[in-house]
Amino acid sequence: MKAVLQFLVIVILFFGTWLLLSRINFTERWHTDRIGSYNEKKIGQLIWDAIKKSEKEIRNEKVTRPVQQVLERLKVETKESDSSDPISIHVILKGDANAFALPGRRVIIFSGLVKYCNSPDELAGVLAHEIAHIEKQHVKLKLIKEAGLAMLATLVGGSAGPEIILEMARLLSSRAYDRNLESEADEAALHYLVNAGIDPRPFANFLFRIAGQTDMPDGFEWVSTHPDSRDRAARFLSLAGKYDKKWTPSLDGTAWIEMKSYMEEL
Amino acid sequence: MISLTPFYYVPDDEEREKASFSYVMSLVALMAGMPIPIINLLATLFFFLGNRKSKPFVKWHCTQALLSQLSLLLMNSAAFWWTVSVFFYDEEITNRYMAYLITVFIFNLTEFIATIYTAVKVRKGIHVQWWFYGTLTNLLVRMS
Repeated sequence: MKAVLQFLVIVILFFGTWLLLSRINFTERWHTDRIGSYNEKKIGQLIWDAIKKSEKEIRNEKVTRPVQQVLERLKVETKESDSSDPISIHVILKGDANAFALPGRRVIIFSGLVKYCNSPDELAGVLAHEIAHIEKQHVKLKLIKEAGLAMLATLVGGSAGPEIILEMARLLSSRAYDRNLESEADEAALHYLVNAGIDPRPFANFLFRIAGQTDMPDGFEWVSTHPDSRDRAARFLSLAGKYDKKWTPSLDGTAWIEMKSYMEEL
Repeated sequence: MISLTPFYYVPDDEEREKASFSYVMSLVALMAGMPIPIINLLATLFFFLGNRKSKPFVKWHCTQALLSQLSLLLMNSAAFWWTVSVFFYDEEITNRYMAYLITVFIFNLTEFIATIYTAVKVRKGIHVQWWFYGTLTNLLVRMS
């Protein structure tokens, strides 16, 4: 009986303290906004810094301008288009055909993927797909799934070494999203492309083409991180078929050819 | 909240050391900066399991240390997962959340001070009984 009474006193003391403190307006006093996005950004910056140290970013205008133009076309129609936190795209000089989204609203494209694209609309499709992963919060989910919460806490706390950060970058660039998330990203990408007036069918062709790669070249990462491409392509094509619009190319032909030629020279 | 009473026999030096160490165990993980709240409990639990057949003085204090960690685990786990959802999901920071963190901090701090105080006293052979945990330990550990 004595123990029960003492337990009740402790419980009352705990909840009483909590209740009383809850009456203080901490959020207004300490200006606590949502910090989830802040941490995601911080982790994204750490990973991007690590990638920058180990890889070479292509900063030539022949590449950055067209890519930016495609991004602008797509962004115009996403709900975050007027966001103060824009998406940034970085092109990395690397032969692997890969593109992936990083935390903190960044998309990384390897030059190998740009070379593999037959048209700017295919590239726009890939970009739209990666942007969809960002907008739908998939990157955050993947980060938690791959890295684990303890690791993320270490990263946010700033005590992670460069090896850990590089490993995180490797995980994000080489592991696939769940099938459901891929489908969701495809649907969102289709929506972005259609709203931007970009023909979505080339992206379906791109998916069909990578699905047909029987002798996969080394480093053809986008395929391994985006499985079931044939099914996805078929589904994407069927969804795209519902739209009858006047499409405009995502880039003018000259800019695209110049970019491809520049890439070939590298 | 803490009472100092004589134990029914005078513990020898080895018993005092072991009994005192049961409290220190709960601080080790805290000192190491482990973010996962269960670590403290595990450290105390393993020490308890290793000493449950020890002499009464050691057994009694291992049990009190373990029980105190159990309740802290509940509070800290809630704080930990709530914080995780704030950091990694878009859960908003509310006054209730901040108040909870401060409350948990106050309880942890109180326990921290009590633990150090108890560890020092027990090392000297003084029997320290905590409010509620001491009473509960008396019910669980048979003293003859």
